[in-house]
Amino acid sequence: MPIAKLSRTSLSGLAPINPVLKIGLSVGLMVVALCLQKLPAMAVLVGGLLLLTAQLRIRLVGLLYGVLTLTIFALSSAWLSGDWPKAVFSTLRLLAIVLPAPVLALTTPPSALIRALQALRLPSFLTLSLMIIWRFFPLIQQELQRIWEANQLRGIDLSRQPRQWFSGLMVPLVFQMVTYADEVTVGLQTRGYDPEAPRSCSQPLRWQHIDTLFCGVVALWLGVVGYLEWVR
Amino acid sequence: MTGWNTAITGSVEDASETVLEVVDLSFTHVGQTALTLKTVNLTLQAGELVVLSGATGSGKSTLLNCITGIAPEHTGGKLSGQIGSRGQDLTAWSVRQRSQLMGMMLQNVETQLFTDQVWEEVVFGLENWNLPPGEIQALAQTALTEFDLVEQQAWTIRQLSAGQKQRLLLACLLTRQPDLLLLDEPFAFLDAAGVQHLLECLQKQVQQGQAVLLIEHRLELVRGLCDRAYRIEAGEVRPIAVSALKSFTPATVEATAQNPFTGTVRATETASKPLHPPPETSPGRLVLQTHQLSWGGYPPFPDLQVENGDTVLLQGDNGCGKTTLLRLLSGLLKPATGQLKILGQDVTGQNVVQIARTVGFVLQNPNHQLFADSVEAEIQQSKVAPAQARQWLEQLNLSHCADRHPQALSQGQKRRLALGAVLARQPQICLLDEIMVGQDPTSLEWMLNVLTTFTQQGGTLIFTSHDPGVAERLQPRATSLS
Amino acid sequence: MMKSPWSLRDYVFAAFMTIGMVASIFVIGPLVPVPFLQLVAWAPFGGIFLTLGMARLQRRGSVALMIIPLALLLAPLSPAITLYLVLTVFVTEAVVYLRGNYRPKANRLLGNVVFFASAIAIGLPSAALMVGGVFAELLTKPWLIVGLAIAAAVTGAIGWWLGEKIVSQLRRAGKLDADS
Repeated sequence: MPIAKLSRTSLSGLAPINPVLKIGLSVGLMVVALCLQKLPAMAVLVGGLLLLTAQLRIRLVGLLYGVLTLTIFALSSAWLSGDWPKAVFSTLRLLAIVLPAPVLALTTPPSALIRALQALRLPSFLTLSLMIIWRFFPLIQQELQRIWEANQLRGIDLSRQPRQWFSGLMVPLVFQMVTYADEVTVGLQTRGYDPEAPRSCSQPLRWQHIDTLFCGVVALWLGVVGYLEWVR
Repeated sequence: MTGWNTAITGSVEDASETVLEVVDLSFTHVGQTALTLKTVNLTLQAGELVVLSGATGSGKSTLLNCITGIAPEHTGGKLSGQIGSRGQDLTAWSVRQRSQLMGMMLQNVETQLFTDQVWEEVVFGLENWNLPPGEIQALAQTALTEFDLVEQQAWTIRQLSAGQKQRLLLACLLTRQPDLLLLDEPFAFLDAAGVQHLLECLQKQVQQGQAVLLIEHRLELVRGLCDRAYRIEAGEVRPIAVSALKSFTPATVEATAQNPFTGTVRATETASKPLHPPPETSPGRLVLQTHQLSWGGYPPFPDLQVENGDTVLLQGDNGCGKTTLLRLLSGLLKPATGQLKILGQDVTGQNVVQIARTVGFVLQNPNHQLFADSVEAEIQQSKVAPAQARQWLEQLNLSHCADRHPQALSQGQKRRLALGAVLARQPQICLLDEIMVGQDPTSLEWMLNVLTTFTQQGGTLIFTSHDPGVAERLQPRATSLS
Repeated sequence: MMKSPWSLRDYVFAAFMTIGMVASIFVIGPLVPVPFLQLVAWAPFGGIFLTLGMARLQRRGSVALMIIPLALLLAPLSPAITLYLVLTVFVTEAVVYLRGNYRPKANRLLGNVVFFASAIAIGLPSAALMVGGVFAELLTKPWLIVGLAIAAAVTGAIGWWLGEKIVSQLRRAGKLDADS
């Protein structure tokens, strides 16, 4: 499961950058990637993204999975179109669309992401939901594991008996989740949470010097991309 | 809010020191006619620690739920009486409103922690009350210092041990210095170090004027700390002397064990029909042997040599590895070193599903082991004939709920059902994790009876418990892991 | 300020249903690594949680309450996925809105079918736009869109059926109030 393992990578020098800036940049980079038509411009864009990606400690399995997927994409694109430069361009374009959001998200702690969403004035239930998902997903995974083991203990190997998945896995899991949901609702109230009540923010997002520096570097980079695309 | 009757609490000055006053509280659960709590009266003053003791199923958690407002807001049911604090009537207050005055630590601490980082968790509760950022920073820093969590402030919640999570939650609950702290079985899963930490925390809080109401089973831990005690039995609460506090064991409740459904008939009197016995093995035959089993880099466990018909108790404090050893014996964990033999065959490293043909394991949480849509079907899953399934249900006092959904049962009933489903598969060896957890005296009586019959018919029982009282009933051979 | 019709209990329940969907994506994903075929394979599992959420929450907007957090959660993968899920939710809620809410079983079935079918119908052209080149042509072939949409609708309906079975078990156990 590459995504899950990617999420365990350590944070990088990008961590202190304003998360709202990172969210905006990931959307912006994606739009730029969709607009580009020339190979050199796309190559510079992807090159910059790969430099950002290099800051992360990606597991070998994830890296191999990514490389394999791209290779298959490039080869099948070339085979279908009969045009290698076009296939290379398409592959780079795919990378340029796929890389920005994960790279920028993986360099941001979950709490900072949630604060960014609060700063964007999203409805409070969205930040609550994300917080609950982030916090309790591993616990539900543990429950899943326990139920899987309980099936083994009664002589059922679920990996070989998918017919048992419904009664042996889904039903007990749902019951556990419903119980958890009830308990978490109570737990939130014991901590004073109310979705309708105003909440303060102990660490308001502020614009820092590093954000200005980052913007400058990105502007330079995108300037080169723009030059290669529209001027040269 | 209605005015509080100061005649009940005495003078206004007395009222201000009475942090909690429960007056004539009665509660009935949804769908029931009998009262779960019957005209409960209790008080708590600032700076005292009061323990509420009682057997599982006696109504302790229900009382706590009523005081915190969880019942009837979340559980349903009918409540009458009054709950007050410092002259204020809290009866109509929501859980959230009461959380301003009461810090509430529930049984499962995981459901009260919501962020991914220690610092974030402390500020989360303060942000919920819309405090200014500057004040939040100061309060959070103070809390982390007071609860010795400064070094862990950048840690993720997942990195914390059970004891550290509890300490974190305490820090979070006490940042706003509520008058009252309510704890529901906080020592249940703590190891020795965790117990010590928590006792020191509570002592410090009480010395600072905090009122603490504690529900706990491990009464030997809190006897030296508490100022007063109450006992709850059959929904009635009465004050008792602190010296009278003692843990409930099967031996102490055997004489009063009642079958709530058929009257006062004791479990042993109905156990006349033999259960389906485990597979035949010669008496005195070794069914399980371990040699230098270890896991996770820890020292090897004591070697076990278990014969058929044996009852073995694995004793030890929380965190000593009792559950780990059971998981090794069932094949859920593969040992790092050592050997495991079952019925003379080396099964070290063998698949769980293969070992499950001879070894049954009743987990601590029965909810993981209930798969069918009715109680009877749960037993029949083990390819047991309907007549035999009914016999099992009778032995476990579950006949009356044969058609009910397993998830609708009480915790004690679920545990018995999980045991029945495991034993119906006719294992040679039955592993049982923490036999007393979630067991009311009646439920435990039924379970022990079935287990006694199982071993008398040649089955082997290996179980864990940190409660020494259970040994009196089963007469096991004890192996200490501490 | 208008009071929300949703309670804290609703938000938390919806979040746990989203957790269920994510957990099942992790189980199915590695088994079917081809995009959109993955969606068809996942639909029975996703449909279970979608149905449970609809049965418990019942009001208009129930699907949005579960899927929009999922869309936000997947934003770090690609904002395009977020946008496409939001559009899918919009279509689903609009269709069910015309018939009422999610109280009746039939509406829950409709919600599931529309959700998964429109996930394909919106997702494939969106992917074509993203990927471009020769794949864009392939991904926008009508036979592919219609075929996969029908397959997703069928597997989504299976998810609904399984979800309703669990709903009745939850009701029997006293854990859920849901009308048929």
